[in-house]
Amino acid sequence: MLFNSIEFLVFFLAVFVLFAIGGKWRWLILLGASYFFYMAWKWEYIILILASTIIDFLCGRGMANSPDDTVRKRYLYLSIISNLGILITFKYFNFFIDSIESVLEIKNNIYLNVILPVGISFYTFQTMSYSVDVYHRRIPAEKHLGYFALYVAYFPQLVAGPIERAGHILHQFKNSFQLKAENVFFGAQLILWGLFKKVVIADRLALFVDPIFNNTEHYHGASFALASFFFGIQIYCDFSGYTDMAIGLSKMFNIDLIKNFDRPYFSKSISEFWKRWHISLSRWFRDYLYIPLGGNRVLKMRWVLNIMITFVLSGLWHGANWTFIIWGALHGFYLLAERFLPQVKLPSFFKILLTFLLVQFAWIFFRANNLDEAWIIISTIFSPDFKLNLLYSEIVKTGISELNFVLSALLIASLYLKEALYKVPKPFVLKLIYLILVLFGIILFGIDNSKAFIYFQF
Amino acid sequence: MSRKLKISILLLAVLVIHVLLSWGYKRVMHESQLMKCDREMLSLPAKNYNLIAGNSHALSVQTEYWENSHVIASYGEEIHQSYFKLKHILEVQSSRPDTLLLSFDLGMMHQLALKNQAHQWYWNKYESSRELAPFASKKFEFYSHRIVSGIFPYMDGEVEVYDYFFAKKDSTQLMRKSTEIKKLDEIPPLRQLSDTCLKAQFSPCGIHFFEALLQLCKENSIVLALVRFPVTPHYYWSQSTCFEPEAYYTSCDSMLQKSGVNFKILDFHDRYEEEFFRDPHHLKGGEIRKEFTIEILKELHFSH
Repeated sequence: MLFNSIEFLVFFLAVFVLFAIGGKWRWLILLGASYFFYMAWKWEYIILILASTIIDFLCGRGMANSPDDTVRKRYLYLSIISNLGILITFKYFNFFIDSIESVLEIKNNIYLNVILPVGISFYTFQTMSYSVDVYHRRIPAEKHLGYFALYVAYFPQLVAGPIERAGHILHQFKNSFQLKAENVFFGAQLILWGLFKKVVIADRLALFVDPIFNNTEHYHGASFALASFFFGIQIYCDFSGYTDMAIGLSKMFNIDLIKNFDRPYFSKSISEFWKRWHISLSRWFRDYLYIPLGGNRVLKMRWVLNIMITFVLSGLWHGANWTFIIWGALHGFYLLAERFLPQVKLPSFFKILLTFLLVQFAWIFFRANNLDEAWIIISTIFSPDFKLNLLYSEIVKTGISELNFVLSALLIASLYLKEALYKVPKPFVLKLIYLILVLFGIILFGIDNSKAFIYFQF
Repeated sequence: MSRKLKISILLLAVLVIHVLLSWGYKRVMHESQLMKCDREMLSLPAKNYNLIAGNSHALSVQTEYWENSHVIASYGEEIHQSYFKLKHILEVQSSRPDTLLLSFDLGMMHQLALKNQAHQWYWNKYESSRELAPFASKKFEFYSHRIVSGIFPYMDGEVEVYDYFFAKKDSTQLMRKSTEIKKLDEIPPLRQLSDTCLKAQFSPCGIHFFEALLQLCKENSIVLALVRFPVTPHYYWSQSTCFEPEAYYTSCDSMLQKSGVNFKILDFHDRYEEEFFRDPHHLKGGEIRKEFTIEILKELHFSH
């Protein structure tokens, strides 16, 4: 059940009505709705969420009830091993086997024939953060299994984040469930804007991006460069669109989710980019991997290693493919370069442009189907085979209509304009026009066969 | 300004814009082939006429050279849509054609995307959801698409609006250059024939509505002329990369024989060279369409 479907709209309206009349059982309504939402995708995999919930709840209780640090540590390890076990089995097992086989040049065909459970990387990371926080006594262990189960499975952010922290959301479940008109209005605005970014911008850009990245042998440098640029915008609109919808949906239940994007393409450096892009994941890696590794309070070489480990694992988190690992490593390399290369004073515009170009370059690895194709794309972009003169005919070859191509360009421009003017106060009339444009934009220009959100696969 | 007033203004503005867009879109669609079909259907006599139906290929038959003929074919029309139109003509309008000329294409009985049909707002008035629903894989989406597109007819109409205001009006400008129509010799190496693929050409939905259409023709003594319209070799082979076209038509033929309908198959699929096409599967306008219509009439033994 996708957020961008009529099916979800009906589901959400039903949940909202039940929530409105639910009184003290609102948490239970949301929990039931969350399990239903997850089971609508593949009901069998609810077992994984239930297992993760029960293990982490019991581990949390175990840690809370035991004064002995060795016992507490055992509970922590049990929680981490079970979560990573689920994650590795369902997400990485085949990739590891495949990689080992290709290194050893053997073929055993020991593969697991399983479908990747949607959102597995998100909820396992969320539950692991709970166990670590309880272990370090940053938060008390939750006593109510129902609230804890809702923390793990809360449907607005279950399948693609933001990756919540127990310390931020659990107390809201207990204290904040309310129906407020301003929340409904604000939430609806966010949902509309998120939906617009997804079905009008991201899915439209995919009409051009997908044929090029999936048929690398048929295109030249200029088309690859444009497709890479479009993909950068596509993935931003796709993922931040989902996040806006998640935050908006949650806001209607008076639950605040953490901010996941903060106009990342206006970043002046790569380090700033990672403070603005997928913020909940960046913070997770910072708090639960980078800092425990020693962070930057170590020798320079160790710091380099810490950065690279963090970013390579961040890449691997996105998917079991070498393309993601290289993408992560490239960002790690950018950060190191930023630190070690001599600083050049540039106007802000050029800093933003440079950061944007570096991020776009890395997206090529993220989007390419495999490393060979990524290499073809990059080598073609940076070769005399750029062939700007073929751009128009290759745009036609992708099958995207003239209308959709022109719309794509206009939409990117309007997205940038909106983000650039985010601080400008807007009178009611402007807000009204904006809302109407967004609403009718979705109806008129929403792509009919809207796709699943890209981050669902992670 | 109070929140209630703001929300009221917003809702009113949305309603007004919705009404304006619905009205504007219907105006834009007024000259479309779909709406022309409606007007043509309303002008049908009670009997003694010939009906041209099916997808856009059938539009190459020129009614001015065929006495008492009416064309209700439309772009991308599927077999179930042709069936529902014919049923509407027979049952609602109490009109009965003598001959039904129908496009007879390789993909006419293929699996259909019933849950996401283009111009659903238009087809809502002809199609019976009850008859179609058993063939929809996702019932919820099937029904919701019908309802939503009924409320917002303009929701998938951006192309028509764009074409109406911005596309070049001269139809020759829309024709593809002959160099863009690929040559036959580029296609065969890609072909990998399989029985499964051939069977997939006959979806339960396609078969059901094809047989239902045959039944309508039989019950109403309508002569059915099935025409394999001229297409370029590139298009022909691209439609059949994994099955043998003649095996497909043999299967269709046995369905036709079994139905007991009075039918005739006219095969023109390879009649014309590529230079006569404006795109891979539509003949150019003017003289060539006239010539083609006359050829059809000769085969059907009609005067022109």
